[in-house]
Amino acid sequence: MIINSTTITPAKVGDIIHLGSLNWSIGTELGLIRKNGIIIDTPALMPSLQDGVLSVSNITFDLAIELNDKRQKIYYDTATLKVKTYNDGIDILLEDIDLTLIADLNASQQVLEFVSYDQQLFKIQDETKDQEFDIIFQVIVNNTIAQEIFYRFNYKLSNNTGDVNGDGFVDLRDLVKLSDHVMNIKQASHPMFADVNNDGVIDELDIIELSNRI
Amino acid sequence: MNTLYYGNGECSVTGECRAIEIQFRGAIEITDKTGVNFIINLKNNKIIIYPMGTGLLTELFEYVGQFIVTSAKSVDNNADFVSVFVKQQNDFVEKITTNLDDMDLLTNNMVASNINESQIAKSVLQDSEKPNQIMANEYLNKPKETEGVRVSTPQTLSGSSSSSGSSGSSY
Repeated sequence: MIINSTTITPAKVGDIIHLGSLNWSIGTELGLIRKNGIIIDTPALMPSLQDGVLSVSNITFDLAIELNDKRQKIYYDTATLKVKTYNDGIDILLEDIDLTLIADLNASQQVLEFVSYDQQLFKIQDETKDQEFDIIFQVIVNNTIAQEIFYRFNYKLSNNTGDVNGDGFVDLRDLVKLSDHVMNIKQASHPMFADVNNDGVIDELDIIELSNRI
Repeated sequence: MNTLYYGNGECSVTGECRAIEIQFRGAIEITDKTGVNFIINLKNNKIIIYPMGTGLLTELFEYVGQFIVTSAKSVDNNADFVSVFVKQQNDFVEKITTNLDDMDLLTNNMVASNINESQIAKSVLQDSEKPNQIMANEYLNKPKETEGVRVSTPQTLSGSSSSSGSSGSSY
C-alpha cells in the first residue's frame, strides 16, 4: 500500500491566486524532500495566511491499494486522513477526513482519494515571531498508520517588512498597497508589515521609505 | 496595457497607471509634472513614481539630458502589475516606419539625438512645491544615524626619548 501523490492548493485570496498547486508525488521533487515530506518556505506560505490561518482550497491525497499476485484477500474497512503536529504554537484546524473502503479484489490496484475543499488547515498562534513547524498528514487504515507525510513550514516574519500584500516579494505593488492603506483608501491584507521605517507608526514616511528600498 | 511615451524632453503614460518604475540609461534633470498626489523618487538610474492619495498618472515629467528607457513596470488601481509598452517619441527620420508623408515635423526642427537640450553630469530631481514631494525629499535627505563621517582625533604619539638621541625627532 503506497501513497501515490499529494496535492495541496493554497486558497484564493481576494481575486488573486497567488500560487499554483503544491505537488508532491513519487518521482517528482518540488522543494526539499524531508523524509517523505516537503519543506515549504514562507514566500509560498504567506499569501494564504489570514490572521494566522492557512486556508487551502483543495487537499487531495491519492491512496493506492495494490493486491499481491496471489490475489490474497485483504479487507479494508475504513481509512482516515488525519493532520497533526508535535509543535507548540500552532493549532490544527482541519478535521479528519474519513473514507469507507470497499476493496475490489478483481482489480490489481485500487485508488482511493481523500479530497477536501475550502478548508482551514492550521492557525499560527503568534504571528509576530519567526518559527518553524511540521504538519504531519497521516493516512490510517484499519486503525493502523499506513503512511505519513511531513510538511515543514518556515515562517519568517523578519524578512517581510514592506510586503503588505503578503506575496513574499517587496515591489511596486506593495508601494501602492501601502499608500492605499496609509491614505485610508483600501486596507492592506498584511498591515503587520507596514511599519517600514520601524518607528512604531504607520504613516506617509513608511511609504517614502519603501519607495527608497524598492 | 499601459504605454509609456518619452522623447523630446517629455515623459508621459497612458492607460490605468497608478505607479510606475522606470529604469534608464543616461543622466537627466527632471521637472515633476505629476499631480499633487504623486511623488517621484529618483535613485540609481531608476525613477519610481507612486501615489500618496487617489488618481492615475498621465503626465510624468519633463527632462533635460540623455534619457534612454531600458525597462518599465507599472501598477494599476488594484495594485497589480500591468505590462508597459515603451514608445520613444523622437524625430529620428530613419525610425519612421510608414511613409515620409506622415512626418509632421519640419526637418529644420529635428533633433536626432537621445539628448534633450544639453548633457547632464548626474541625474537630479528639480525642487518641487508639492507638499508630499517636499516631505519625501526632506525625509530621504535627512542623515540616518548610521550615516556620516566619523571624525576621530588623531592619536597622540608619545614615548620617552632615547637617551642616546640617535633616533627620532627632537623639537
